[in-house]
Amino acid sequence: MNGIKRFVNHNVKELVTLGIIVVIFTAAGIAKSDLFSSRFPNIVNSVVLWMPLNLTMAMGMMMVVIVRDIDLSIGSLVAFSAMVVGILFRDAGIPLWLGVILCVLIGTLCGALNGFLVAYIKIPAIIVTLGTMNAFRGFTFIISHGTHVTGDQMPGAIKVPVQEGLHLGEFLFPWMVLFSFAVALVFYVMLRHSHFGREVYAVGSNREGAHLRGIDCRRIEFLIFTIVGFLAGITGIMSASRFGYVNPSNTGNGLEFVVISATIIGGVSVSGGKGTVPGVFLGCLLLGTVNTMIATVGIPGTVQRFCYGLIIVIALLLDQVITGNQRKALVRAKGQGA
Amino acid sequence: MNDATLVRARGISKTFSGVRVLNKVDFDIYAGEVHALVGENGAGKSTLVKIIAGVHSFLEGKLFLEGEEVLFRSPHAAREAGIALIHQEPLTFQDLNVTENLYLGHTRGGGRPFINWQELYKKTDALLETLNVRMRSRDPVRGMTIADQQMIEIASALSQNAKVIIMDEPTAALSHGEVENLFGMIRRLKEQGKAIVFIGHRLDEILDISDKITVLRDGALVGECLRSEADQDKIVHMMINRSFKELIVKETAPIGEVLLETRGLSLPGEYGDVSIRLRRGEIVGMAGLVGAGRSEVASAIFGTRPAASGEIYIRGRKTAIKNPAAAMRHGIAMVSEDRARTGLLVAFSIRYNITFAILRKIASRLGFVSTKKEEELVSQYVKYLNIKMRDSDQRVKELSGGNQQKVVIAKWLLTESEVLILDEPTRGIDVGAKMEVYRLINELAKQGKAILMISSELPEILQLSDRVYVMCDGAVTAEFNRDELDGKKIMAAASTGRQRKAS
Repeated sequence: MNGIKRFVNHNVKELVTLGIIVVIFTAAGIAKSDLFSSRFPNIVNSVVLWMPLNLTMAMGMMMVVIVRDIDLSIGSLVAFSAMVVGILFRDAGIPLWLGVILCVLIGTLCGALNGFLVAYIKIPAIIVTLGTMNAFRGFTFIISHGTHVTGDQMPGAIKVPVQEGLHLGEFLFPWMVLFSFAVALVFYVMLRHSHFGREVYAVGSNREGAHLRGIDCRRIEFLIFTIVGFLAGITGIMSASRFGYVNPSNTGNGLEFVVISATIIGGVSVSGGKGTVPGVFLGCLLLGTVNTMIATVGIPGTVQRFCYGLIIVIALLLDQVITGNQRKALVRAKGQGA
Repeated sequence: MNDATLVRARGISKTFSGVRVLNKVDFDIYAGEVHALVGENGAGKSTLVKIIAGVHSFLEGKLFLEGEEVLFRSPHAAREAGIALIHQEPLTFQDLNVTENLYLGHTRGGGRPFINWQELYKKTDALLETLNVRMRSRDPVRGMTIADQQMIEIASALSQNAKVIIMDEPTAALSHGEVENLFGMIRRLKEQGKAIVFIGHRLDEILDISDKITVLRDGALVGECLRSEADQDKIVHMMINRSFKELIVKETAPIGEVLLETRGLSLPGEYGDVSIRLRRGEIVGMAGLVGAGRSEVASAIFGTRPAASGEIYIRGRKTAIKNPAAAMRHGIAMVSEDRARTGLLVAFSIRYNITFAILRKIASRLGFVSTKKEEELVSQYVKYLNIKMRDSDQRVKELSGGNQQKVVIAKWLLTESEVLILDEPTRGIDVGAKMEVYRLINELAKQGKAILMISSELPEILQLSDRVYVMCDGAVTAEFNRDELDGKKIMAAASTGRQRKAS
């Protein structure tokens, strides 16, 4: 009994997110009776297919938010890295493996640039990434001359990770989805069990203290932005695969906001130091669910964006209320103890 | 050289932006000894220990560790060499658990990328057990008391085999029981042969715990004496060249009408049926132990946390005070206990902090602040309060505790409030600054303000107050006039619970 109570107390945020997902599924199921029967495998497929790009990016974003920074440039960086590689596919005919490596390399370098400016030149992250958000997007337009790269101009194998995957009965989990889950698993282990991971939380929790304990805070900050760039490179190639084209204005557009929402819904605190990979995973799952269900139950396109925003706000409000209550309970417990 | 000498500092000097804060100081630390370092704020105590602990690198002077000359380039290097500094504000990580806090920064090594948590949890529990601390390896640090967080820092230092543990004002935020507990720990560490350096302001504590006392004044060494040769008067004399009894002088002011009265203020779980009166020109002391509910009553009067029931009368008129803005409108000001957090914007300039609460008054009709007017007011008050600073654009963060407190007081003086609530006005400030604060309190009473002074320091209460309320467990347990003030009676009322209330 005590064990359950402790588990609930320690995982309130995650449980709330999970609860909201269940509520949305149920509500949609009531609205559309065939949702849980014939269409269910399709629905699940489209929910999970929404996740890989956002989940991969959210792993980086959560570290950025944990150390009280923000990265607004990720959407543009995804577009930029994908566009460079897309053009090389089209004009130079490079093989897929080389494209993947180049894409990740470009992302990593650009992320390192962000990290350098934030950590060593000490410009606030919001300013740096607001600048590079426009710069990366601008470069994308320059190198593409404003035109897009279509699916048939890229190697055919690029579509495989989306179209094929693990079949579980009627359910299909595309390789790309499983890959992003693996990324999340790697970050789970890293943040929980590696020195680097613990130091990330420490820097976010008490930067001065971390410094006095001999942690090189600037290096940690630099590495985090570099890792975000690395993930943006991966997401760039995933985006080309997922959508089958690279477009200078569409690709990665608004990704930063979706990813930041998912991160915060997942329980990463903007005041730093807090947040778990399972929480962020559920945050992504929630947004994926919302996205799919809005379309499924037939809410008109004009209203969809509003509903999307509304649900995000409700999720955040619930979270506030619950953590607020928890804090009050803590204060009460302390009051009684004294 | 004595065999037990762990650290020898010779001729240490340090200059900060042109100001010499330490001048050729010698300091020795011996194993199995508690060495107290005392002096006014700004005397250079913290700078000295920060140099020894590698926080400041230094160029002048020599530092020897066990006979060998060393130069620490970072606090990390000093810790590895066995010198740990426990900061005044514990540098713990609220979002991590006890074990993570303990081992952070020295989990690396052995070349493994991952941390063996099971092993660390076991080690932590074993360590906590030997220290006789009642917390467990997996407990979250958020919500822990300052005292517990200090224990974590001490444990962390020990887990790294620290030989020298330097504590910078560890008792500043502790209750009496917690101080006892800390001193128990210090004595155990001493028995284990650790060297302790203890910085403090409360002389009775210094005399209680230390074996040797070193006094600094204005960055220079005044002297070193053994515990057995020292008493309060001698130390104070060394610190400020004045004797203890001259410290607190009461000046009488004419007492007028009642400015503020509370009737039956209650907040369940915090305090109940609190009725007090403050008169013009009167200094009303509020005594009691930490946690008796005094600060909570102050919060009710100032509107930061209104009472659930009861009434507040200002100049005889019943007034609802729902928030600090309302309190300020009615001429109530409060200098809070935790000035860094609630009293000051530490990252902003002195000028900004002083005029912060009265910007409307010095603004033109269009809402622009007149810089000239502002500068005039600020320089007037800086002079009046004797605030030591470079210029009024200096950041408050860089000031000593005493000077910070004066900035807070200046802020409220400018609002021309008639009722002043001072919550622990001299906490964490040095003897010299204390005297100035006492002078100010007297001065304010003379100007016809009503002052409620919450204080845990009995000498303050006894010397300054015209009248004293004593609180215990959320209730006012006694009231004394100046002529019936007595330390023993106050302590009795503060600790033995609800007694018959004196009329």
